[in-house]
Amino acid sequence: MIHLRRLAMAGLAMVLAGCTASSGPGQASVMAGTWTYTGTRDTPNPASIDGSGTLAAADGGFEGTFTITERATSGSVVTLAATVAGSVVADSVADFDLAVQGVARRHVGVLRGDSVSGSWASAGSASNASGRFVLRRVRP
Amino acid sequence: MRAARAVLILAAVAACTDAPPPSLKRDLPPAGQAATPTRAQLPVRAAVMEARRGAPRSPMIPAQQAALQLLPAAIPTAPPTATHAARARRVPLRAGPTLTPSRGVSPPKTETWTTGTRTTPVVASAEPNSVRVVAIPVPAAVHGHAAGFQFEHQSDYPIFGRLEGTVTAEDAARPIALSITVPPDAPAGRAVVGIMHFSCAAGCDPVDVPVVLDVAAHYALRLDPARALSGARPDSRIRTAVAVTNTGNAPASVALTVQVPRDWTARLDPPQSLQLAAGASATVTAQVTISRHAGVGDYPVEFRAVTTSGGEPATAFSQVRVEAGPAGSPAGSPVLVANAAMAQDGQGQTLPAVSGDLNGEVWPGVRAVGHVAFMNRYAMRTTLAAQSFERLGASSARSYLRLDGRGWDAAAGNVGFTTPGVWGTSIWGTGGTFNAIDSAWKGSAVAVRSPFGGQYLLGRAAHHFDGFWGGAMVSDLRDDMGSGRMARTVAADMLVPWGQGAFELQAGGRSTDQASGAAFLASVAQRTHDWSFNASASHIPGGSAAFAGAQDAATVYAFRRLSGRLTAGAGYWRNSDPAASGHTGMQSTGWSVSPQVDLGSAGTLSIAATGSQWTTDVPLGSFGNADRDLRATWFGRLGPFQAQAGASGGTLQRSGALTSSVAYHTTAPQVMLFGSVGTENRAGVWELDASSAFTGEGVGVPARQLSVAGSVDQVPLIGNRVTGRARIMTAHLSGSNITSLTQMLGVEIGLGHGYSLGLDAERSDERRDLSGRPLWVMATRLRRVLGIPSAGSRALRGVVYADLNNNGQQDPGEPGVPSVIVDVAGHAVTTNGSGRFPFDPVRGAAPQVDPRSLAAGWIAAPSDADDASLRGALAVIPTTAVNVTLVVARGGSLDAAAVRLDRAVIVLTDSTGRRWTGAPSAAGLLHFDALPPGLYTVSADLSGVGERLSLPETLPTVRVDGGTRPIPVTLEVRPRAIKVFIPGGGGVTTIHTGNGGGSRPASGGGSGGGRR
Repeated sequence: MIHLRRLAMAGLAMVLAGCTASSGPGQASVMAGTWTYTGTRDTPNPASIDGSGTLAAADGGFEGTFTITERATSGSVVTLAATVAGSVVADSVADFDLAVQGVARRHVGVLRGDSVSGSWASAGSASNASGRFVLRRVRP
Repeated sequence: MRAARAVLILAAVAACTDAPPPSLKRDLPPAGQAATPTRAQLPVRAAVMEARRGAPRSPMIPAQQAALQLLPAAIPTAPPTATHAARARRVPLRAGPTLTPSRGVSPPKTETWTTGTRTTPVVASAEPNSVRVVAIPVPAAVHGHAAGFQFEHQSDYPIFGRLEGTVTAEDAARPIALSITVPPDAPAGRAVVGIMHFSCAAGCDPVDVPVVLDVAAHYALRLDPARALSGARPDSRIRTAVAVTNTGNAPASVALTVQVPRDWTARLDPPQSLQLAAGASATVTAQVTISRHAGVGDYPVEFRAVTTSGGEPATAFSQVRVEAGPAGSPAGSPVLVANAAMAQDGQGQTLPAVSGDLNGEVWPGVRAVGHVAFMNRYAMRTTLAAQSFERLGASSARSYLRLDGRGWDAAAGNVGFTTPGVWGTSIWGTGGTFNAIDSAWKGSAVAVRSPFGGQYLLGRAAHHFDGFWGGAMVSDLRDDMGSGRMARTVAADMLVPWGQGAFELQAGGRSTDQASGAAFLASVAQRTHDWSFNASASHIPGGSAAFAGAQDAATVYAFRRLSGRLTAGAGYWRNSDPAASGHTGMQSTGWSVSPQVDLGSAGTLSIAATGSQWTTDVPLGSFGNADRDLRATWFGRLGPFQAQAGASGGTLQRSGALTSSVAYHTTAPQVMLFGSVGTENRAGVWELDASSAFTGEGVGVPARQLSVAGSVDQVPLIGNRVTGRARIMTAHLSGSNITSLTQMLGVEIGLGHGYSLGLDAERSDERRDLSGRPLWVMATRLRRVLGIPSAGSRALRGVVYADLNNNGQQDPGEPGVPSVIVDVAGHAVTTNGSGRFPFDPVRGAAPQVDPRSLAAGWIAAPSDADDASLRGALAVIPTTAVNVTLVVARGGSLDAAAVRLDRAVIVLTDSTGRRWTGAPSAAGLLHFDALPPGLYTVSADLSGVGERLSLPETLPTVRVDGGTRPIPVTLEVRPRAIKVFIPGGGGVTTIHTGNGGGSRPASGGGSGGGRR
């Protein structure tokens, strides 16, 4: 049992050691504030997305919540809450997950002034999805 | 000296051949007694013996009686049972005036092994499953002498320490310490585990010190329901049985109770408490009356047994599946559930809806399943409102009707389906489908209008050639949303039976507005009871259309049962969906390895190691994720609760390579803990879930997440007519201090006459109105279950019957089997008291028996789609009997006449470790009846046969399946070498059992003093 425990500890140590091989994210505080979200879902079923939310610096990155509304071309409308967590890379790229109903959509966009524009994608066991987005800062 | 040695050997052999005293036979009743106990007291092995003596197999009318009669042989005897008896025989009590015979211990008897004067035994108390250290004082009679000593085992308990050696005159005051391992199933009471023999080379008489363990009583029970699942309708009665096994080490008085859902009643037969010897079993039947108000669903019937002497209570569940239908209506008649509902979505919109759910045979040979809903346009257009409506159980906005006719089925309305392969698509919308099949042809036609403006058309036909199906198809897919939204496919396909599975090949061409080319898919599937294998590869050109993405894919999955308790699965997949203009390409791979360990009564441990990664190409460049995870999950019971707990650890990796020369990757660990408990009893259904995750920085996941959810349902509030339900879920994300809360509250009020009223309200932070505020959604629903007079008994053309002679047809005397659940074209129906169920004999698909609803020891007869099963006649057959013959190998000096084979215990152990035991006849024959299908290892406990015999190194195995021809198995046993101690210089000698001069020295005689 002790032997197994040591093996488990060694395995955990290896896992944690592997975690250090990362390039750290840049400053995330630039993402703090209130943003509007405009985007599309291109696949599999087209829809337009808009919403807004607030981000705050947290644990080396940023976190927050958004409320988004998806309008499918079929006419259906759904408004959902989404959680956001991510980081800023090289002071110019915002990389974050926007989780909607348990599915994380990874967003990667270029930060230019008060906007972030880029693409998003999610890979699920059932289907993949992708689209585009633009974040715009709301000035108080 | 030689003469003394010979006498000793003879004495030892004589001791080995002593018949066990009568008191040890109580759990192996002689012929003539097995059939006499009452039904409740019938022990498992008695039933086996009854079968061995050629008792005819009981007819199966009704099924509950069959369960009663077959259950004793079919329910596994507690694993310790045989060993109890065996240990009892292994521990004959030697001469000793202070001992009182108890369970499993024989009375004193004349014994010629004894060579010295008996002294007062050393008695030590012990708990089962413990290690007891016993100090044996050196007898005063040998003090002052150099004496040898040796321990003679009288049991199979592992004993360590100074088993032999010498004591000098100086250290005679030091006791000899032995460490005795007491097994978990050691019989309660006093028993001699061995004798320490002391002898001197000269100057003193030999002395024997018996070592006695007084094992404490341990009380434990096990319950095995005869059926995992039974089918019923409201206001009907069923009988279900459970086998009670005393798995403790002492006789027990057992009190049994049964709990049923509210408004149900149950009566036990026999109602009184049971007296069970250790290892013995009895069968108890419960007659359950289902409430006339019972809704559709699976309901638990909980058996609970406890001994009056203490110990942990045992519980077991048997499910009752209640079919839709008004009280007292015949099985199979159509049912309409009507709903009238109102919902308030929190935005000032009231959504009225009227809906109905139809299920049943509306016309002879035509079964209908459908849902129709009428809502206002706002509800239909607003996904949020419709989903909220559905969440509260009010209704679904999707209306459809499906008809299953004679060799055909058709659906219309809101339909959706996913098809794999070169014409693969995932689509839903408004339209219709039609399928037809007979023994030579099958065809399909699909026309669906997508809500996104496109349509999907498909036509397919196939012919059954000699041994395989071959056909062709054509499809056309398009939508109205711009480029990349068109795909046309023309292909041929072939499905060939191969090995223990099938091989499928699809080949053709596909053209889209992105690309055109050849498309193919090849797949192979193999499956047996112990392993399965699936592999497929495909190439499908084109663009990432909305409904039919292009892909190059390969998948391999395999499953293998490695042993009785260990299974493992592994898989790999790779998928490439190339980028096309206007759309995002994605490549992904993944693997998994997932062993699973059956821990028996302690539950199941599932371990899964998984890895996956994906990358996508976007205008900015590319980015992707890579995750690895090792997860361990335990499933089991904690008292009355079903429980699950687990932990996982792994890494999440994010990478990006953007055209702006920014490249990065971030890796972070993630650890998760999760668990849930739930229970279902008269107080309702209660569940609690909790999970927590800790994640490193920079991978898009909050650092700390905690979620807790609790729910209750069917909680009686006012009598049993008003029940409540509630659900609360909260999630907390640390760092940003985000909390999400969902609350739901509802009641269900029984109004009588088939009416019920439901009131529900839900508020969720996850679902918001258009201004972003959390919604309060409320729904009121009035429901009535209506019987539709239609098909009546004419529809009951199917039958499930006991094919006692396994000839594939129902002969006179072969009864129908009630309360069996049958899958008819995807719909579960229940057989009535005559084994009948609604079915159209000329339908294309053969109905199938749900094996969980069969009594133990019975299986559905194998059939193919062309035989009687297509006509609705489903045979269930008893499993193959196994005839085990215990044979003693010839040769050596064994006295065959001294071998009492009828005192052996033959043990069959299945792949999950469950054991079936029985005593053979004097000729060594034993007939095992009604075993569940599976692979069994044949073994035996030979400790009571009177001679020292050993089992072969490789035990025979036998596979049990359906059939009437018994499978013969021979278990050959051989004489076993034993060691005897020869005082006064005889040393240790190895002999083989048998009277006379058959001994063969294995080690040389010592020079004296009992030294080896």
